[in-house]
Amino acid sequence: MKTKYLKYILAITIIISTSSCQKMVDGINDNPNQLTVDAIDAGLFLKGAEIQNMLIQLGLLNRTASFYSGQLIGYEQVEQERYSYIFTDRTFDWEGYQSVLTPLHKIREQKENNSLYLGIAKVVEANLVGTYASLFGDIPYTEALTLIENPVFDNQLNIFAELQTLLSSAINDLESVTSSDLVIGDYIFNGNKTKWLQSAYTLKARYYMLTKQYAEAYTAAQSGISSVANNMMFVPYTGVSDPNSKNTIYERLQQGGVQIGVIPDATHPSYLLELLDLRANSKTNEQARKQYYTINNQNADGNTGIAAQFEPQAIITYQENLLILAEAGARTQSFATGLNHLNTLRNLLSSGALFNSSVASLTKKYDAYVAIDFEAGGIENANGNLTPTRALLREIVEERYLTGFLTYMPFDDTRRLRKEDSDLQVPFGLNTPTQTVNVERFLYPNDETESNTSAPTDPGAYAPTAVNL
Amino acid sequence: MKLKIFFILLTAFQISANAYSQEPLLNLSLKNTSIENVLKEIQSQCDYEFFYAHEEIDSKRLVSVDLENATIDEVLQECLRGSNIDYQIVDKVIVLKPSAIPQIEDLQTQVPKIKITGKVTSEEDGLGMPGVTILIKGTTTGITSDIDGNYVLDVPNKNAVLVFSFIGFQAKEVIVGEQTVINVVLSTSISELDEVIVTAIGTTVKVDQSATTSSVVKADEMEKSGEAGVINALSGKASGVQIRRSNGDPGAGSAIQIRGANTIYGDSQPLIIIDGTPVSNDNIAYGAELSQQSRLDDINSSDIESVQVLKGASAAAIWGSRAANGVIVITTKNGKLEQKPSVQYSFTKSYDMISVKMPLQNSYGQGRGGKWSTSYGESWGDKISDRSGQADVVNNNGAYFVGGVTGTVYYPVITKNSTGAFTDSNYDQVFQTGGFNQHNISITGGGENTSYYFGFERLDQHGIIKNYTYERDNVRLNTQTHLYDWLKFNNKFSYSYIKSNRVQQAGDNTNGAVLGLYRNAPDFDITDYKGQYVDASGEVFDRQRSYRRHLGENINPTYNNPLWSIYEQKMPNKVDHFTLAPEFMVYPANWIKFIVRAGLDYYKDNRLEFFPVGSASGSNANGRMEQQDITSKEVNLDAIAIIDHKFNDDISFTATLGANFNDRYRTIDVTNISPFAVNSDLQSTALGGGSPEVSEWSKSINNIRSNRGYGVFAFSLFDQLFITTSGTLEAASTIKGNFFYPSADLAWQFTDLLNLDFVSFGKLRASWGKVGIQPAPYKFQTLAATGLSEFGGAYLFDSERGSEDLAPEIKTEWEIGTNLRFLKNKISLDLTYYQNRTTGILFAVKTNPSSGYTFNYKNAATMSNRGFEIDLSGLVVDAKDLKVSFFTNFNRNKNNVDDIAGAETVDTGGTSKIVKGYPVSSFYLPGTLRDDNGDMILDANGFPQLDPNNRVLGDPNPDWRGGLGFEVNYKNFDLSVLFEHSHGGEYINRTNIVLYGFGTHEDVSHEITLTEDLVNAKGNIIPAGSTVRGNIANFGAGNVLLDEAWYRESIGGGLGFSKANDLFMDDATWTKLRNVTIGYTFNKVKLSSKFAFKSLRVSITGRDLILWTKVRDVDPETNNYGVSVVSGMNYFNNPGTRSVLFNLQLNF
Repeated sequence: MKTKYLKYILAITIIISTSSCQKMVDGINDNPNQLTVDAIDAGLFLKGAEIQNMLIQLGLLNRTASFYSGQLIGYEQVEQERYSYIFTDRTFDWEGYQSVLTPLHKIREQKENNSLYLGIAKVVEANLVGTYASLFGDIPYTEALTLIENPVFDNQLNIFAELQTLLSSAINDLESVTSSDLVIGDYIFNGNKTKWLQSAYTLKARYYMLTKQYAEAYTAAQSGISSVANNMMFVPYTGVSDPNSKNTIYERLQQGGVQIGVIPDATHPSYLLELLDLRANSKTNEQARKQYYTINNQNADGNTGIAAQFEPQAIITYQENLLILAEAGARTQSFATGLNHLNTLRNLLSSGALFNSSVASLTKKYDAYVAIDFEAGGIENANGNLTPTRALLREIVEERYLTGFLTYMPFDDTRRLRKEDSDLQVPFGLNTPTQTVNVERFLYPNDETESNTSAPTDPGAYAPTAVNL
Repeated sequence: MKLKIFFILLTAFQISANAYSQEPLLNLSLKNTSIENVLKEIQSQCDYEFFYAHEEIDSKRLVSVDLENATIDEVLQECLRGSNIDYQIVDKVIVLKPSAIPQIEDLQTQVPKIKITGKVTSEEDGLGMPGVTILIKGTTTGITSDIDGNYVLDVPNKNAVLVFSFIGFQAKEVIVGEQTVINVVLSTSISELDEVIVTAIGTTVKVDQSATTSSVVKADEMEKSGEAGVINALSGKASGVQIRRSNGDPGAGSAIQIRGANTIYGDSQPLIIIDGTPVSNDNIAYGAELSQQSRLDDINSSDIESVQVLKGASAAAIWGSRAANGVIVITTKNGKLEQKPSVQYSFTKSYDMISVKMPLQNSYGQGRGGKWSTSYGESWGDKISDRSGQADVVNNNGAYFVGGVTGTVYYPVITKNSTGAFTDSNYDQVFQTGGFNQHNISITGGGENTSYYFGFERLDQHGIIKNYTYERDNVRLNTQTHLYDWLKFNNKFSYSYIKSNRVQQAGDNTNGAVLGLYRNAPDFDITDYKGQYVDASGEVFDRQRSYRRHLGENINPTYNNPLWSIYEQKMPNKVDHFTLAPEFMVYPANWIKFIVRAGLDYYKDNRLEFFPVGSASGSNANGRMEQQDITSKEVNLDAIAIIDHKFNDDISFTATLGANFNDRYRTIDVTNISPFAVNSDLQSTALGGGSPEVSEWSKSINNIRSNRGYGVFAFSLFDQLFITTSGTLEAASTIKGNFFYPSADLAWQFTDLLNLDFVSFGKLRASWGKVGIQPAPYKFQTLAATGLSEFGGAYLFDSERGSEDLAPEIKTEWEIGTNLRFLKNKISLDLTYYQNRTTGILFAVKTNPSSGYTFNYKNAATMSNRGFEIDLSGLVVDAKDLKVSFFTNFNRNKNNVDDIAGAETVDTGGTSKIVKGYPVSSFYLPGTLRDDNGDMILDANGFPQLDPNNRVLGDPNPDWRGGLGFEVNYKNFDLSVLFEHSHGGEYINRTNIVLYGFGTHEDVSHEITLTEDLVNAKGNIIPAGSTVRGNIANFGAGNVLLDEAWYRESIGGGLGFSKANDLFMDDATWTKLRNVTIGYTFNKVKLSSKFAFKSLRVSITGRDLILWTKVRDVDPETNNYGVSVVSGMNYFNNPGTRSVLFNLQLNF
C-alpha cells in the first residue's frame, strides 16, 4: 500500500502549489530593452533634437512651400499631387512637437545650470516653432507639452512675440556661457557659442520680417550671422552611406522616380529657372547659379549642385541676414544702406562662396549696383514705373527669392508682400490651369484637430494668417 | 466507426471518476451486514457506481459474503442470491432493480415467454456494436449486447417493444411481433445527444447541461476544407467566428475574430488552448510587406480530434486577462487501451490557382500625354498598335545593357517602333499554378495500460507566385499511461519544422513582385531582369533592369522588376516549434480528482530578408540584409482539483479549484547590414566588409508573467437546472495589483417539464462573465529610444508616453439563448443573443502632437459588440443507403466604438481609423467634397473636388455572415458542400486607384469616339468626333471626359491618399463556394492474401471554386494589413487562391 501514501503526497503538493501570490510577478515589468528618459544625461538628447529639427525644416514642409512659390516642381504621383494643390488634413503632421520640443524641454529642465545647453535648446525651439507658426498660423504653443489635455491654439502674432522673448532669453544665456558650460552632441556647431548667438539674432530678424517689424529686424540682423563660415547648415553625414542622412533633395530623388525638380518642360515651367535667365544684364550673369540650382531628377547620383549627395543645406544663413539687412535697411534706414547690403551679397555671390566647386568654372557675374541703376530707365527700373527705393526693394525681394531657393524665404515673402507690397512681388504663376488663388497657409494635421478639443475650425489653405492680414 | 465508439467511451471514462484497464477483482468478507454496506465496500474497492430506487430495493436486507479475487458479477450474485433484486452493469454503473414482476396483463394472458436473439450493428461500418442497451419498453428488463453485438433476451409476449440505445446513436424501437431474430442497425445521432464539450481548462461537461455557447468543428470537417492551415480550415463552420485571411501566400497567417473586435492595439486574437495548455498563435509582423505565419498553423490539422470555439466571456473567464477575445480549445487525437494498431495514410495533392486576376491593359505604352517616354513611370503613352512595327531606333554610341537571361543587348531607344506588348507574357512569368503535396501517416493503438497516437505530416507547397515555397514537417506523439488505478499519466509532444521562402508584397515599399508587375508598362518585357549595365565610358556594373530603368543605369531601379523580387530577393524563414504537455491525473478518492498539468510551448523563427545590391528603394539599393531571430517560450502550470458531491438524488455539486502559473518570454534579435561592401548574394555578415557603421543590432525582450487562482462551482438541480459560477483572481507583471474575473451561467432543460411531442429537447440558457486583456509589457515609464543610426546614432525620446496606472481591459458580456431539438433530435436549432462591452481598452492613442508625444499608452477606449447567432442543422433523409443532412449558421455582429478618451479619431495606420461612434477600423480617408445632402459639390467643369477633411467613407465589417452546408451519403459515395457568405460592409481597392493613375489598368485603356464636346478635368474641351483614350462619366452636371487629366493629374487615380477614395469603395458582400468534396470509400480491399486495407477512400475537393461579389478585381478575402484588427483593403496584395485537391486515404 505504498502507493497510497504517494497519492496523498501528490495531493498535498498540489494544494501547496495552488497558493498563488503577487510576489511571483513583481519586478518582471522593468524594461530590459530600453532606458528610461530619466536614466540618461539629458544632453544626450541634443543631437537627435537638432537633427530632427533640420530634417523637418528641409522636408515635406519645405518642398511644399517651394511648390507654392514657383520654385520647385512636383513631377510624379504624390509630389505632383501636392504641387497641383491637392492636399487634405492628413497631408502634414507636427511630429516636431515630439521629436524636437519634448527632448529640448527635458534638456532645459535638467540642464538649468548650463547656459550653453539652455541657449542652444531655446534657439532650436524658436526655429521649429517659428516655422510651424509661419506656415500654419495659430498653433498650440504656450499650453503645448504640458499636461493640459487640450492646449489652446495661440494667436500667431502672440507666438512670434513669445519667440522674440525666447530668443532674447537664449541670447542672455549664450552671452553668459562660461568655460565650464560644456555640451555634448551639438551636431550643428559643436558647442560654438558665437555661432549660436549669431543664429539667435538672425532668427530674431527673420521673425521681425515676418511680422513686418522692419526696424527691429534691422537691429537684430546687425548682430546676426557675420560670415558664410558661421552659417547654420544641415551638413549631410558622411559616416554612413544611408541616403536618409544626405541632402534631403538627393534623398527624395534616391527614393526613385522623377519626383521633384526645376527643369522646365512644356507643361511645368519653373519660374525660378526662368527668372535666372531673365536676370541677365550688364552687371549680372547667372550661369553658375542656374547650373548650381539645376536638379537632375532622372538620376539622384547625377546631381552635383544644390541636390548633390553631400551638399549642405541652409537653415539660418549669412546670406539671409544680409538680405534682411538689405530689405529692412532700405525700408527703415536709407536707400544707400539697403543697396550697400545688397552689394555685399552680390559680392559674395560672385566669389562663388554660395555655390560649390561643380560650378567653379562657370561665370558668376554680380557687379555692384549703384543708385542710378534703380532710377527710372536704369538696369533695375527699365520701365521707370517705380521709385528708386521701390525698385531697389523689388530687386532685393527678387534676390531673396533666388538666394532663398529651398528655404522658406520665398514662400514667406510672397505671402508677406501680397497685400501691401504687391509691386515688389516676384510674379510666378500658378501651377495648374484650374487654380485661381495662391496658398496662404498649410492645413492643420487632423491628428491635432481631432484629438484636441481646443482646435479651431481650419480656416483653409487660402486664408491669410494673422501676420499677413 | 470503431474509433468513434472509442471516443464516446473515452469521454464516458472521463466523466466517471476513474478509468480501468480491466475488470477489478474484489475481496469481501462480511457477515450479516446490510446490502447497503456491501455496496459501499464494493464501491471502495472499485469505482463502480450503484443506481437504485430506495423505495424499490430493500437495501437494509442482511447478507453474508466471503469471497476472494472475485469479479463483480460473482460478488453481486452471491450477495443478492435469494433476494428479489436483479442487477445490471451498464458502463460501470450497476443498476439494482426488483426482479421482473410479471405485468398484470401478462398474468392475465399467461403467454409463454419468447426468446429473442439478434445482432446490433452500426450502420456506418456494418460492424457489431458492443454495449448496446436493449430494454423492453415500459419495463426495466433488459440486457446489453456482447462484444460482437449479439444479444439474447426473453420477452413476455409479441406485443413487446424492444428499445435499442447507445450513446451517440439514435435509439430504435422494434415491435417483436412474430420475430424471434431481431437484427438492428443503429445510426449515429445527429443531435449530439450526451455529447460533451471541453471547457477552457480541459475538463469536460455535457453539452446539454452547459449554459455557455461553443461551436464545435470536427476533424473531418476541417479535412474537407482543403486548407493547408488550421485557421483557414475553420472558415464558415462556426457562427460568430470570422476568419480573415491576409492573402493566398503559402503559410500566410489569418486573423481569427470571435464576436467582433474587442480591442484596438494588437490583433484581437483569441487564446489558443491545445489539450489544456495555452500555445502561441503569434503572428509577428512589421508592416505588411511579408506575409508572416500564424503559429497555430504550424500544427498538423490531421492530429486534431476536435476544435471548440468558446465564444462568450463566461466560458472564457477562467483564463482571466487573456481570454477577452475568446478561447479556441483544440483536442488532439489519442489511442485507446487494448486496441490493435491502426494505421492511416493519407495523401493530398492540391492545385492552386489565382482567385481573381487583375485586368491589365495591353494597348498603350509607357509615357505621358500620348507620347512614349521611359522617363515616366506611367503608361499614358502612345497606342502600341499605331507604331510602325519596324525596329526601334536606338542610340548605340553610348551606354547599353546586356541582358543576363537572354543575352540581348539593349540600347537607349530614340524612337519606339516595336509593337510588342507583353502584359500576358509578363503575367505568366510571375504567376503559376501552385499547389501542395501533403502526406499524413498516423498510428493509433494501445496495450493493457498504455495507449498512443502517433502522427506525421509532410507538406510541400508552392505558391501561385513563383519561387514562393512553404514546407512543413510535423510529428506528434500522444500517450496515456494508467500507472495505477488512481493515477493516470498523459503526455503530448509535438514538433513542427517549417521552411519557407516568401516573396514581398507591397505594403509601404517598392520591392514587391505584384507591385512591380501591375505597374510595369505593357510594352516592357520583364524577361531580362538582370544583367550588366555598361556606361558610356565602358565601365561595367551588375544591375537590375526594370521598366523604370531600361538600361539598369541607376543602382536604384525605382520599382523592382517582379522577377527580381521573385528570384534575387531572398526572404526565407525557418521555424522550429515544439510543444510538450505532460499531465498527471490523480484520483485519491471517488469524490475528488486532481489534475496537474505542465505545458511548454517553444518556438524559434529565424527570418532573413535579403535585398541584393540593385534592389528597389533608397535603403535597399546598395544591398540590405536583415536577420530577425525570434525565440518564444511559454511555460504554463496548472493544478486543478475537482470535487464531486451528490447531496441527494436531486442536487449534485461539482467544484473545480485551480491554480495557474504562466510565463511568456520572447526575444527578438534583429541584425541589419547595409550597405554591402561587395555585390554578392552570399547571405552572410561578411557583406558588411567588417565596417562597424554598416551593421546594426537590436535585441528586444518581452516577458509577461501571471498567476491565477480560480474556482468553478457547478450545481445540478433535479437534472434539469444547471448553475455554474466561476471566479478567477489574477496577478500579472504588467498590471499593478490583483484583478478578479467572475462569471455565472444558468441552463434549464425545460423539455423535462413540458414534455412536448415535437420538441425532443429544449434548453434555455443565460450567462454573464467578465474577462480581460493584459497591458503590453514595459509601459510604466516613458523611455529613451535610440535611432538616427544613419547619422551615427542618437538618443531620442520614445514617441510613446508611459503610464503607471494601467489596468487590464475589461470585457463584460452577457448572452441568452436556447438549444432546441425537434423531430426525435433530427433537427437542432441554437439561438444566441449576446452583448459585450469592453472598457479601458489599452492602446497607444495617437495623441494630439502638441502634447509633445505622438502616442499615449493608456486605458483609452470603450467599445461594444452586440449580435445574434443561429445554428441550425438537420438530418433530412435518413434511409439505409441514403443520408442527407444540412447545417447552417448565421451571425450578425454590430461593433461600435463608444468612446476614445476625448478624441474623435485614433490612427491605426493606413486607410482606417478608430472613429468614435463608428465600427472599429472604419475607412477614414479623403473623399469627394459633398454638401449636407451628401451630393457632390462639383467644380466649374463638372468634376468632383477633394474634401480636404478626412471622413468616414465606409466600414469593412460585414453586417452579417453565414455558412450553409449539406452532406449526402449514398452507399459508399459521399458529397459535402459548404457555402460561406459575408454580407455588407465595404472594401476599398486602392490598387485600382493607383493603377488608374499609372494607366496600366484595363479600365483606363478604352478608346472612345466622342459624340459631343466634352470637358476634361483640366478644363480643356475635347470636340465631338475626337477619338480619345478615356471614359465618359456624369457626376451630376452632365457628361465629362475622364482621361489622363482626371486619372493621373487629378483625384481620379494615382499614389497617395488625397484621392476621391469614396468613388473606389465597393460593396464588400461576397459568397464563396467554400468547398465541395466528392468521395468514394472502398471497404476491405484485399490486395493479396497477406495485404489488405480496411478501407480506401478517394476524394476530390474544390476549395473556393466560385466567388460571387461586387468587389472588383480582387478577392475580398485578401487584406493588406495581414493579421490585424484593420481589414478590407487591397494595396498590391499578393492574390488569393482557389484550389482543386485530390485525396487518397488508406486505413490498414
